[in-house]
Amino acid sequence: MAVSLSEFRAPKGAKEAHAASPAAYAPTISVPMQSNQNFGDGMPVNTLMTKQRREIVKEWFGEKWRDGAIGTTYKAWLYCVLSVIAVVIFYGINLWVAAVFAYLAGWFWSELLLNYAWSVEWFKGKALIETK
Amino acid sequence: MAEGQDAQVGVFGTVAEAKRPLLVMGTRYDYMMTQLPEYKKMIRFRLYALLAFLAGAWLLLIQPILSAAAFFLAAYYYQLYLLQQHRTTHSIRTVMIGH
Repeated sequence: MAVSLSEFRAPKGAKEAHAASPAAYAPTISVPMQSNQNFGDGMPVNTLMTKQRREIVKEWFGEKWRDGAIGTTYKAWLYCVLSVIAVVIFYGINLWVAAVFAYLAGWFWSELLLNYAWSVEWFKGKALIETK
Repeated sequence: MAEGQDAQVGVFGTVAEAKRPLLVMGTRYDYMMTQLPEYKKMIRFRLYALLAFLAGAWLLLIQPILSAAAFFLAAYYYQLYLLQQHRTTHSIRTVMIGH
């Protein structure tokens, strides 16, 4: 005999079955976040790059000048300060040597500005999704 | 899993039991600022471990009792260094960033 869901009442003796482990019976979901397929021009079909934290950290906190990461910002700041100190020390000894250090101080200050712009300021407007 | 862009990654989550969001969206800047202190800690603990080990080796020659404490600190900070490594440069936690 067919009974509609709204009229259905469980029998008195009926008990809800409890799984040994609730997680074992819970549905799981798989979300493929990255496709290996590319468009004709080589661009990936999705708009997100899926990476691991270790890749991100190594890329962003690196110390190689060419990478232009936040690590080089710290390094450029240190070298700039050391260059200014060298200018002060060599100013009374040899003006030409002091001039070289002055050039280096300006060079490292510009490196600092560039790296800060591209690895800190530019990041403020870029979206990122992390897994919890 | 091999590093690189072509890695096929999926999120496996038990939806019914989840009490917190699986994915959180922010900016690269926010994420960097949350990871930067951990990264700095890693570098600091590595330095402490090295200094404590060198101090222990030096104290071994002049004051062996104190070298035991120094070696203890070296091992302690080395473990903290490994912990921070797992949280930063060895972490396989998934992150998605826009192109």
